[in-house]
Amino acid sequence: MTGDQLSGDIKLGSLLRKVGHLLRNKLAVLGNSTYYLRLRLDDTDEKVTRHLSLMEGEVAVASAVIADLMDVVMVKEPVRRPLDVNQIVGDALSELAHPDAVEVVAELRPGLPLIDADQAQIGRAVEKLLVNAVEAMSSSPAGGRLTVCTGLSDDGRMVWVTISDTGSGIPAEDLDRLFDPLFTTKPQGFGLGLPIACGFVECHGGHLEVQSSPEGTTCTVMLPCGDR
Amino acid sequence: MNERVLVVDDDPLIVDLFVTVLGNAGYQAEGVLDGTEALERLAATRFDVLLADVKMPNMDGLEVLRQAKARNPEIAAVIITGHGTMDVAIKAIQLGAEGFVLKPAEVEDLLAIVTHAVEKRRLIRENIRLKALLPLFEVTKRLASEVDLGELNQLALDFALREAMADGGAVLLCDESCPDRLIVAAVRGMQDTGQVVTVQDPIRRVLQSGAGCLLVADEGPLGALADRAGAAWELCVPLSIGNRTLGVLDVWGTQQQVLTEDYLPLLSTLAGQLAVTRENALLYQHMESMVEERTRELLRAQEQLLRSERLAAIGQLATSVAHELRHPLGVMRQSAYYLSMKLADADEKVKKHLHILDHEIVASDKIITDLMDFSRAHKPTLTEVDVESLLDQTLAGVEIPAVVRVMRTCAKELPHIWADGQQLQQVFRNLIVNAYQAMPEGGTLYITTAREGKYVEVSFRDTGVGIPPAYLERLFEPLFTTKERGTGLGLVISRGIVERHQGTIEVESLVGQGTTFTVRLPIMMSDAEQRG
Amino acid sequence: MSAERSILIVDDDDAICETLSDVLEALGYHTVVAGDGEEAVACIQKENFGLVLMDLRMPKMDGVQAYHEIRKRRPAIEAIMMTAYATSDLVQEALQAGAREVLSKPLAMDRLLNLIAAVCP
Repeated sequence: MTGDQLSGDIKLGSLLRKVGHLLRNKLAVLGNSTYYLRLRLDDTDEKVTRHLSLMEGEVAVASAVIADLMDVVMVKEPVRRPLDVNQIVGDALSELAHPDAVEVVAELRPGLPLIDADQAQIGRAVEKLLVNAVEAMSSSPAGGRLTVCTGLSDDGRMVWVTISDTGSGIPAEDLDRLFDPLFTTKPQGFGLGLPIACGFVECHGGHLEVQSSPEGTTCTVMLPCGDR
Repeated sequence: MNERVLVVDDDPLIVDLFVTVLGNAGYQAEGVLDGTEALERLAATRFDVLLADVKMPNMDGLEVLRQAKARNPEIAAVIITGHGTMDVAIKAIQLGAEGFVLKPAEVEDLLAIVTHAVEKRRLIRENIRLKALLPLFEVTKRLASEVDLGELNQLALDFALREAMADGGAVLLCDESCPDRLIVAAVRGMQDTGQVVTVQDPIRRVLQSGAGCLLVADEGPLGALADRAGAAWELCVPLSIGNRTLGVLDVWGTQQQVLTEDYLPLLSTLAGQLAVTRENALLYQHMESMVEERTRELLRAQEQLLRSERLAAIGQLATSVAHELRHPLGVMRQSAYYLSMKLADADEKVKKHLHILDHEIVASDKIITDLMDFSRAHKPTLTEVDVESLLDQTLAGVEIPAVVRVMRTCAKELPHIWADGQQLQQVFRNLIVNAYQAMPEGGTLYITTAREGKYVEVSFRDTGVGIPPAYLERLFEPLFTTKERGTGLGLVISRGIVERHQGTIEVESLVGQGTTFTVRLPIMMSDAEQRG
Repeated sequence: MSAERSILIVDDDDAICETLSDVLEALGYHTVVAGDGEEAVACIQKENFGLVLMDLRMPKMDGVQAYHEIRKRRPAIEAIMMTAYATSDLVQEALQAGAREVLSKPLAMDRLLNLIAAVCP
């Protein structure tokens, strides 16, 4: 391996960071302008409104793509603080966009010990798993149910979060490759959700498990409790 | 034969007779007339056989038997008894006597009984020895699994101490740097032995002869440590592998408990085992450090592999991101177009924002394209390329502002080169765009081609603002750009392409006068590259 | 226009400043734009604002530093920070400096406007 290629790693990484930054700015401008036009043109033509909505939607899609990229290249050491898992889950749920046909059920066990974690990273991990779960049920008009639970392990040392969907599950042969970056069964987007979530969870000393059947998928996140 | 026999009988005639008979039969026999004397003799010297008359004044035979056995359980004891003392005989057997002789005894009977008693004793000893071997197997197994040399020594020493019922012992190793010294590798039953011991007889003899020996304090000098411990006996066996002597295994006891040489083979075996396992341990340690080094090498190689895979993965990621963004950007572009058409009569502000939409979408697209180009570092697909016509094509595809004049100087008969036309076009386009962007007020772009030996040279000179020397150095740095919204990738990509063609790209500039980029490409790439 | 409904927008990307400005002005706020931290400090010295909407990472002086400087001169000015990628340490830094919140770009407009309404009634 040449020295060039080695430093290429750093260059490519910082390049991607810069590109991510730039693109986010561009998208921000697009978002702002679209919003402005909406404010000004809302009462005019229906088609105009539709196109503006479309643009807003695409800005969001593009933003999500960049977000995944950023998660990979901007990864830093976790900045830990005592956090309440239920609060993180609650925040993520309140921001979660989902079709009406998808029912959201939360069973969060109260009084869980705090975890020592990076809020942005664990929040992101939970967010990604929730988004995956919703997506698994969005293709079916019947919708489905998203169940989120939290609890404490038997030995009291780990806090767990389960995120279950009632989608059609992941085929057995794909289960192995779930954590490959870039592996996806989705027609659009790349499957970085799980590897990124896993990365965040693991760098906190936790682990992520996935179980799936034709009745649905359950992701379990385990995180160590903080020191008392 | 050669066993030492002590005959005890208050009848001097019996004593003389037995001593003579036994002496003729090859035994070393002596006689005493009294129990107490017998015990004194037994305390002073090691005897293998005791022949004692049951009926004696002062101390009877049974008492002698009892005490003799207490001192040395190994001694073969025969009771001399007369008729009418059968119950005594039985008691004697119970006390451990190996047999009894009935008076008057026939010579043959006497000898037979003594021989039998001796044999029996031998069998018992052998049995003990064999049984002692069992734990030796255990120890050997443990030795074999132990690779810590210190531990090995202790293990072996402790075992030896136990089996030989010794009070102390040591593992002494030869000092390679000084043949007169032995290093104390392990010791028991003594404090402060110090690190080294001078080699002296009798240990020197053991080292030199390679044979173990039993030393008795009364009969000769003991080894230094045993001596210091005030030992009464010492067993010393060499630690050797093949014909290499590594040191000795030395145990000693302070009790007058008489120890037969039967323990020598056991200890020798143990010493042999110790030596072998030491060698193994050393080999293992050496191997371990080799394995460690090898493992580190592997780890390094793995890390490099991982890094290159990571690099590839990130490259893949970059390409995927770019791909993924095309779709939303495409939709946005269409919508923006529609809006600008529909709202052509809208007010200034609205028009401004529509323009902004368009501008940002285009800019985003460019970034994505740059990104894809950068991460798609692929090998050139070589075909025969006519540089001049490639330049024509490139110029046709670029919108050069009217204020910029283009002057072409073509070399006569410029050879065709083997190159990737698509990629080269990218390079030319990049340089042309850079050139006219450097001349916003107008100027001239000179494009010249020439042949230089095995190379073809294409240069792009502008009459623009020029590049200060500080920037000149950094021009090919990724992400370095003097343009507000640029990604600073154009030149990096160009250089990558040129270098993959085994060419070079150089820049010269004078502030206020202009900049020249020169691309040099081989007419033919070297074979090795071509075959990839 | 009262200070409360005056917003200072600071970002090294002109287009972001411009488009945000247009949106906020269409909603009735008064806005001023600045291209970096130093410019921002100069602006607040000239006039008072209820809120500064600022990018966290800028050349010359970054968002947190700039806000510190602004606070020294006009302690009542609130801040909402923007950033392309919100890592925990960045967020913590901003919150510790007294910012109300840190938003990721591209900004979710509804959220931003609600926040502004809460800060600048």
